[in-house]
Amino acid sequence: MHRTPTRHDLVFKRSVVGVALSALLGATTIGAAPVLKPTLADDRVEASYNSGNQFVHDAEFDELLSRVAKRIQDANPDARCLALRLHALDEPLPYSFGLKNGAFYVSTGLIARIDSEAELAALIALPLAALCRGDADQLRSDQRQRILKNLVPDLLLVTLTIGITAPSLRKHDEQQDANDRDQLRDASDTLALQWLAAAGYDPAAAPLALTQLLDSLAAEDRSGAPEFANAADLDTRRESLTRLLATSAPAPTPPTATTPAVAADALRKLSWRYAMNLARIDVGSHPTGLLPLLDRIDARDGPSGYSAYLRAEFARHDSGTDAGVAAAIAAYEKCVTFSDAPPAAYRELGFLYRRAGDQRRARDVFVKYLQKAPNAVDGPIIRTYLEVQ
Amino acid sequence: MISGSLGRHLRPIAIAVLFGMTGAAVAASKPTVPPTNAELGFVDGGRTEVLERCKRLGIQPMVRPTFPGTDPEAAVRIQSIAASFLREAGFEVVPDASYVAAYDKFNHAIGGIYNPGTGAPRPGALSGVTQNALREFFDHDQLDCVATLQVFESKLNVVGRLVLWNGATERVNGQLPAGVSDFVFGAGDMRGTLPGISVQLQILDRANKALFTHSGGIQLAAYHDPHRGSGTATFLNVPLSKLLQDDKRIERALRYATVPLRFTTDEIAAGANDPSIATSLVKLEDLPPVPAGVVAGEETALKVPRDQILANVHRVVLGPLFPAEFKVSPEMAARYRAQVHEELKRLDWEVIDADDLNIIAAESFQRIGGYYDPLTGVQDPAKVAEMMRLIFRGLALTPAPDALLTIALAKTWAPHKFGVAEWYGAEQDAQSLGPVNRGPKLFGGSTDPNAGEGSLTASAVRVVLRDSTNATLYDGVGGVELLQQLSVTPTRTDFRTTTYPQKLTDRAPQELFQDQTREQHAIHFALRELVLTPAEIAAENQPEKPKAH
Repeated sequence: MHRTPTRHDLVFKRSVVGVALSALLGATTIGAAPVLKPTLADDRVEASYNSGNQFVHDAEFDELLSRVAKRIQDANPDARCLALRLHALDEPLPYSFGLKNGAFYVSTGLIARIDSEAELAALIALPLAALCRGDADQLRSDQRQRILKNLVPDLLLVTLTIGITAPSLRKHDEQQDANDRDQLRDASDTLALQWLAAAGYDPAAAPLALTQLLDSLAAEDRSGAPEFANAADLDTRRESLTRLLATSAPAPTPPTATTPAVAADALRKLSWRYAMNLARIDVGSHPTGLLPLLDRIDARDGPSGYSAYLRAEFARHDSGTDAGVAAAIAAYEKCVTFSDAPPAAYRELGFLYRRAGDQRRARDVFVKYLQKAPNAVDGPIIRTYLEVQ
Repeated sequence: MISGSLGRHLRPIAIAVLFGMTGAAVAASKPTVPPTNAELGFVDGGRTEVLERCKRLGIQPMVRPTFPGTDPEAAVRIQSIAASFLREAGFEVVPDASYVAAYDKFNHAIGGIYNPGTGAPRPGALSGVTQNALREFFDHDQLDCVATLQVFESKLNVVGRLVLWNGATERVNGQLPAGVSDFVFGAGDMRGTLPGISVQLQILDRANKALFTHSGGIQLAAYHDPHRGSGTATFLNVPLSKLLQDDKRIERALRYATVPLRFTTDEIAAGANDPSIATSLVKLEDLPPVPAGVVAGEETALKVPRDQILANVHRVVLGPLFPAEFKVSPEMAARYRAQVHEELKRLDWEVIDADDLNIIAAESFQRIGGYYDPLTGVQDPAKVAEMMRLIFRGLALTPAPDALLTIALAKTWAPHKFGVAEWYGAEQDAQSLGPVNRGPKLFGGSTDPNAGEGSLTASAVRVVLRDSTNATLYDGVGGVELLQQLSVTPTRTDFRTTTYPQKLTDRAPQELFQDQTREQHAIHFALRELVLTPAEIAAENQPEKPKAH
């Protein structure tokens, strides 16, 4: 009577045949020290990113990234596996990644959603550790080796069982890949946590940063494929980092390279700026993400004229009715109470007053607009409204 | 990008006919489900709400030209056709006189929307003028809503020999069916995309919020015809000046765009077989023939007859290589100029190098403050003449040269068929980036049917000869090399199916401009209509004569 082989049977048989085949083919060394071999493809990818529309020309951002990376590399000789060139890419989703030729990119969506330099350091150290250890190459090599080792036994088993075992074998291989990936990632993350501690950053910032990203993305109703933008990946990674921290992380070394207050200030400024850029685009394209994003930034840095302006713009987009006009007027009136309210807030408030029939107030805010933006392109147009009134 | 398989079409067609008959029988017996409001382009509510909310409707005049390079007057015809359908829908369509007056007033007030240096709208100026003109339109005419129209181009999926999009049906080759011969020798089983032109109708409330958005397909902007193209190029582009000339097709597009406003969802469902509602059923025989397409890059470089150039031009100023976005070494710039000198020897012209030509031109342009009219964005002939006078004076040559010759690098598109790219006289293996070897990839050649057809970015050299009035006498382009590499990776999706996903990778700057033979061929090709007689060109075009690589 025919018995369908169990997973244990399959693994056993494959390993027996596999050992013999490995002996014939010569096994590839496992666990050898990785050698980073930048390829022409890496140079091409870098050239493509650097000349693309997403490339951000922001010296302040580049300086921050370089400073954080230098601090990690100065404190950890094994983090100096590459001479890094760090740049920012304009993308709403958070990500950071490096190439084997030393090019390293951080998205504006990442900086917009973190609160501290330690979090940024963590989100640089995690992919950098994987890059320095050569995890991607190791994973590919392990996969190739396993495929080679199992080729003949798999063919035999699939043939003997008329294909019944194929799905089971595939599932087992996928599981094996996932296990390998997890093991490599844990080893790299452990190294990254050690780097952070040696550089004087609190390693606890790593899971904290992932929590921050996870919560922000959920509130903004956003998700994506990159490892720092995918809810499931973020959740798993956060848990594993917390576990690793509990078992192995050393205490942080006090920072020496930079005054923390200055660093925090630079990061907060950039984070605020790119969060506002993101919110500005969201007004028209992703309104569900707008208010949670502004709420988070306001809670962290305090309300500002610009965030109030974006809230008012959001209200104006829904001002098709009299009630909508009143709500938009209230939002702009609140905005112009801030000393840093953008001049455009006065202009839009003027047009809303006109719609509501309040010509006197319209005139007042138009005058303020022209005072605050004397060289505005549409200044002459606004002056024609003053002449008419 | 299209991949075709001529000769494999009879079986699919037979199957399609069988399924088509079965499908028609099923469709005849099954009532069509009414579309939802969201499917019809309504944002909040549906037709009743929009008609109720937008009784008085203005049409915002379209920016001219409606689509770059097309007839500016097409805007008037599109607006007029749209107005008649919107009236049919039940709107009170208000004339746009107050908008036009406000637009002109504000345009003058800000000193013109357009940058006189580039002819492009100044940041904030266009929106400042249009938004305020719209406010005036709403206030003056007591509008409830405004309709906007916009012509746009998009990639359209090819289904067999047809392209169906936004209520339009067109044939991929731009031809009417040719009976049995078309059936036997037709394009067959095709897949891929072609560019097409559509018009989008949007209805906005006073807060600029879209209440309704629907588009209608007008016409294809390119055709795919394996029997009419030359060489590897089987794509025929419709010249921009020939687009938007067909009022019947514009009417079909706007008829479709306004269907959700003119009919209830039940009427739309019931009219699934009525061409006045389901406009994709409009027969091509009932529409005018589509404009002819031309193979890209095969236009003549001679803007005036060659004899006329040779009779009037004897003394020419040659400027330095303009690098555009590329990194160019001084050696490379010198090489290009030397090669141009070499080519021009045949004409026995006096060619004077002017290293500062580009600088003098830029300074002259700056001195006159640009030559575009800030109110309309079109060139001002008087300012152009003044700029040329300043350039010739700046060159300080006695006697004055007859013409200026400029050379520039440019980025362009190189179409490829089965992995062999051809553009402006150059050809290159898109996968290996090496020379083209006419033969199947299996035997070491460059032709790989799995690569399908498409296009990659490529570099080219452009040579322009202008006279003292800035009239272009000659405008030639020669292809240099590909800026991207094509890779095709066979991917097994299941036991029976293998797909061939294609990937384009940008080449790194350090890889480029290393092959001087390619440069020489490019410059020769760019100049050959000027330096060679038609008989010499014909001799050079003989099949046995190899092209660049």
